[in-house]
Amino acid sequence: MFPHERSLVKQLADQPFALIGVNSDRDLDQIRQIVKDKNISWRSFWNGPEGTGGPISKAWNVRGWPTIYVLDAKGVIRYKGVRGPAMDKAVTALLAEMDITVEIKHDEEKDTESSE
Amino acid sequence: MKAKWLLVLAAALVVACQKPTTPPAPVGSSPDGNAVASDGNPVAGEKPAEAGKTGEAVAKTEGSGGEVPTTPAKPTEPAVNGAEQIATLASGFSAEIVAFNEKMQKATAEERRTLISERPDASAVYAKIKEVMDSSDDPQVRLEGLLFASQNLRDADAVEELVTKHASNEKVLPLVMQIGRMVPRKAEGILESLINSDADPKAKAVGMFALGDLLQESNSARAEELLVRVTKDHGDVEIGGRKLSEMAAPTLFVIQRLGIGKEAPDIEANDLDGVSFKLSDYRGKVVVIDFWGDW
Repeated sequence: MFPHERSLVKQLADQPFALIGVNSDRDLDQIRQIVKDKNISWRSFWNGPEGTGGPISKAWNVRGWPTIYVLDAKGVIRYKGVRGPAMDKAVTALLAEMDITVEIKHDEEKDTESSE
Repeated sequence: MKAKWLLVLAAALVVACQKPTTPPAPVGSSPDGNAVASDGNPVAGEKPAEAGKTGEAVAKTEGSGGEVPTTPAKPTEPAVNGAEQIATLASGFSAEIVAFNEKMQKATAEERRTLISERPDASAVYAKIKEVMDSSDDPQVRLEGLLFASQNLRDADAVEELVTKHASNEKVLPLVMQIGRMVPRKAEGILESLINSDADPKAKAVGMFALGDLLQESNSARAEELLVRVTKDHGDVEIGGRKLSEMAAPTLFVIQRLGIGKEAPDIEANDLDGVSFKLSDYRGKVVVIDFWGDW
């Protein structure tokens, strides 16, 4: 999960693209350390001390983790639940709507190997 | 791995919490930590994994006079009836599950891999329950037996019979709510026949809610229609102390506000450094929202 997203964020650094996390860990200090250790470069909302029972996941009725939404530049939900190559494809398509052509490529070894 | 284990635990807890209303035989604890009945004998079905493997323990109890071993009836009382026998078997199983879960919780990941094979075997207990069911024509006995099979074995036929014939029963109603998780493949058909049946309005309303919840992704238009109807016509119906309108609201919100093509609701909260920001700050960009956690 992390390596793929890290690669995506890095490749699209100069594009109108953002990956926004909603982190549902209870312990803020611990998660800050993980962000550091795993080089998670993107910004996350914190779901609060209730963890997965926090206000943001509750408002969005999130029942499983990870849950993914992809929004277009107007803030409209265009894809749900896309991960890995499907996420790349969704983002590529939405950027194409803005006349931006990108080719997302991951280094198989480094980028897609599981960190778990 | 961890998440998967939590799911197993959660499922087992659900099972353990669904104790029958009939009070179980008093259960104590022997020095070795195994559950024992009040007379000091092991609770029937103990170590069912071993029993299942060898068939020995089961055969022994069955061969010892045909009495139900779990309920040592006091000599002054008449023999226990079928429903009570089933209740005792079921609560004995619940106690085993609780003990098993405690053991699992204390175990290391390595130990869990071995322990998992010792998980109390619901089908061995159900085999005994079935004997009681088969020798009784009391509908209450059949109902209790089917409840055990539904809750512990996710037996689709048992679920179907309960939901289509006994949906109004207070013990069956919660089952209607869980049906999507219990028998995912048959759930839609069973719920459709429930809401088109002549069951009482409360049972049908709960069925409508459960079907709406079930179809939220596969058929969101039908789900929306059902949940709007539940909210409007049966919103005050309560189950487990909660109104159906309250329970339908989050799913309706997902369908009406979080569907493909809908403008995403804004989020305003702190980031991990305590700095507040909004999702709408990122308008003009393609945004991937990832609900994540490190577990």
